[in-house]
Amino acid sequence: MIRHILSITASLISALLIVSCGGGEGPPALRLVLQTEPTNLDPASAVDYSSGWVSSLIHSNIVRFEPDGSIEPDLARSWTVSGDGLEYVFHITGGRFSDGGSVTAFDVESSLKRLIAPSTASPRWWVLEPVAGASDFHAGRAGGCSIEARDDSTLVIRLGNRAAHFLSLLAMPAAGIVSPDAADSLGRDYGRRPTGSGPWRLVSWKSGDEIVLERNMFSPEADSGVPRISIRLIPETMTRVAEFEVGNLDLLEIPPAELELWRSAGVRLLSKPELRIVYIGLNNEKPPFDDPRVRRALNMAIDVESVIGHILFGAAEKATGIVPAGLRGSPPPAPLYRYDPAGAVQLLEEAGYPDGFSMEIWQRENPESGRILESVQGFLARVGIDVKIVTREWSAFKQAVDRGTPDAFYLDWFADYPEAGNFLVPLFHSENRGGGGNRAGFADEAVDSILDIASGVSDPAARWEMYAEAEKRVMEAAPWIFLWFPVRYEVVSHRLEGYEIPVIFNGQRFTGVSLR
Amino acid sequence: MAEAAERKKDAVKRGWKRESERAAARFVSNRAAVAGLVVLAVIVAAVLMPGLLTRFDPIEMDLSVSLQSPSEEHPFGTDAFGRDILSRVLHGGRVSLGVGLVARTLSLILGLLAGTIAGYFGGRTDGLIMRLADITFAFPTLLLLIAIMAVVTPGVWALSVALGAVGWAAMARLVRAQVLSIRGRDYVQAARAAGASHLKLITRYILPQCLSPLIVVFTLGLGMTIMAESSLSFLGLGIQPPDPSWGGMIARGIAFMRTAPWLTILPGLVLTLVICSINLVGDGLREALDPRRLVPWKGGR
Repeated sequence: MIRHILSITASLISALLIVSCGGGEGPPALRLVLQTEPTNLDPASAVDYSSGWVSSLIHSNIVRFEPDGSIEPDLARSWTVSGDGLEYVFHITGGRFSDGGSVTAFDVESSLKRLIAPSTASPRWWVLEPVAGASDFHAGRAGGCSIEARDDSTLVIRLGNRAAHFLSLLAMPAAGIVSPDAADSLGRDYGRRPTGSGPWRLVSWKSGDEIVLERNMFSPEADSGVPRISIRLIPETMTRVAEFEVGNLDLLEIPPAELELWRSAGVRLLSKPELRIVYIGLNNEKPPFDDPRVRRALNMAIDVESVIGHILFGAAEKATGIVPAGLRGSPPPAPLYRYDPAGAVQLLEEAGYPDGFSMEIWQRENPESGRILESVQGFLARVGIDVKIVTREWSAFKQAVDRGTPDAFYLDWFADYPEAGNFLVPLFHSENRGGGGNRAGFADEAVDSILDIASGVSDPAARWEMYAEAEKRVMEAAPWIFLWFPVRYEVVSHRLEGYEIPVIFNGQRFTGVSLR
Repeated sequence: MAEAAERKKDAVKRGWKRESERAAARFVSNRAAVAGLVVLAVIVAAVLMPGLLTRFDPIEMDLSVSLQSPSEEHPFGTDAFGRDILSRVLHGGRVSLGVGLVARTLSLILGLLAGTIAGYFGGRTDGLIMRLADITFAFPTLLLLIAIMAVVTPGVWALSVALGAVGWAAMARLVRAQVLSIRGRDYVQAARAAGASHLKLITRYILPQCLSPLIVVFTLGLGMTIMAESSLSFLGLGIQPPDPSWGGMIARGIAFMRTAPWLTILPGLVLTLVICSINLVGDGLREALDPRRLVPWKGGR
């Protein structure tokens, strides 16, 4: 019997060895890893990080983000904008889908209209909302909108209002151009079998295991160093780390708990401040959080610097403002709230809560945020606030937070496009309360009107001045517990050259990297 | 007839006493079981009186001493929040052992009730109860627990009830089998003929005979229950932070496996020790109470 088991084990092991050796065949691959599996590679349906990230490698856009966040030509080799800022004329040329067909302006038109069309029901259609008539088209009140191909290479888009950030919107994953033929014939299956004109094409997708991409040979940038990308899907943090260490990965984001270890390990460690703010949103419409004194007290009760130092190991900057340093027109403001538990208790007394109160903070399943919230819980306990941490899986969490159910919630916001307005407007304009981004339910008329005026101002310095004013007012009102701007740390293998951490998550398409 | 039954009962009692003495002697001669009992006793004593070993609060954090390696001040080191691991292990142990005992007792009560009723009365009642037990058995225990814990608010009591509720079926099967084999015996028939009520028959003549296998199953199951509690807490469905639990400590220590291994290894070690000891004790009890070894004249002692 034992011999039998041994022989089975031996044959299993040899089978595994054969399988793992199989990966070594074919052209050398850039070996990447994702924590969560993409749900859908259709640009119109890709909402989560992984889906948008992979979809951006497969689809090209009219314009694209570079790793530093600047806008570069993609399918549009050049463009002109009318004097009133409302009409964009793009010169579309040179793009080829991975099935060989060239990308015409008509393809771009149909792809963008597909994103808005009510039948697509895209959760990201709002990316094209500034286009004149888009809202009516999406609501089914009109048969189309102002996106029009004049000939094979000329695309004209008219906007309803000035939108200084329109090009950034076009560079987002949702505005990726799909092959109209493939999208029509595959329907919902397109998300599994995408055909784009990006630098990469999907070769295989084994659920829970690996996604393999190869160069789109028809793409104009097909001749760079890496012919193939393997994206492993590994949910477990320590498994990803181990895979990198044994040399099976070329790139890895370092978990904060391991930062010290890697800093002293003599490896090629890259870092970049993210365009992302981490916060605990307070339900501004629900007592006791409708009282600004309570909200300020909460900000004073938590020693954010010490949490950054001991829980995040320094991988963040304290958020003294809302707009990350990379998008500011002026240096970050001086901290408005300093760690002062005695002051917090006093404020709570003034607000009528001398004995504190109990509250729930909701989070989605994530070990990192669990650790952070446990420290927040400890700090708030010292000022008499009893915190219960409620953990929900992402969709249940999002639904509850959008409805305004929880007292408070731990969340982050990252830039879809590099613009101060992309933080302040969705997060604090009263029009965006709920799912629009303003999940704290913050409403302030003065802030609203400043933000409304600012988005129409085209002079960047003047616009920033207005945004800074709005930011100051929001900071004073304290609709959140302001936490930090994370710094991303990645380690690259010795053979990977030319890689740079992108500031916008879809700003790195691995066309400029090479393997030694 | 009634007198005969009483005499028989006395004989049973005397026999039981003799047998329990022999069982105790057999248990003591089993070194592994005794070692398990000693380790368990030490851990239980420490868990009941954490103040003897540590002066730190298990919950109050102090970020300035986070992630310190084991030292004289903190024999088990500190976690990311600067909390003393030893204190957390001891307080977490209180929860783990307490939940284990409460859950096992609940299983025992439920199993005893269901098993006795099924075995004693038989027929349709038996069929119904045993099919219910089969249904409970059909679910993998951990999956069933996860499903239960996902719908209720996690906490010590919810956890105890859930763990107790999934354990009833095994107990019920065992009790039923015992009752079935005992209820036809001569002395039970005699008592019944003498007019003893169902309740008296069950509590005085049948159940005492089921005791030894129940003790063994209770003990062996205790280890599994503590393990299940730790698994649930590991998955975030059991004891909620900041309250300590072994499973939760192990789960949250994994991120620091290479920078601060004591966060995971020490609670894991204590958990392993406890479960091994309980199993050794359980095995010792099983051997000591094995009815096949209760036959005195074959042992020659």
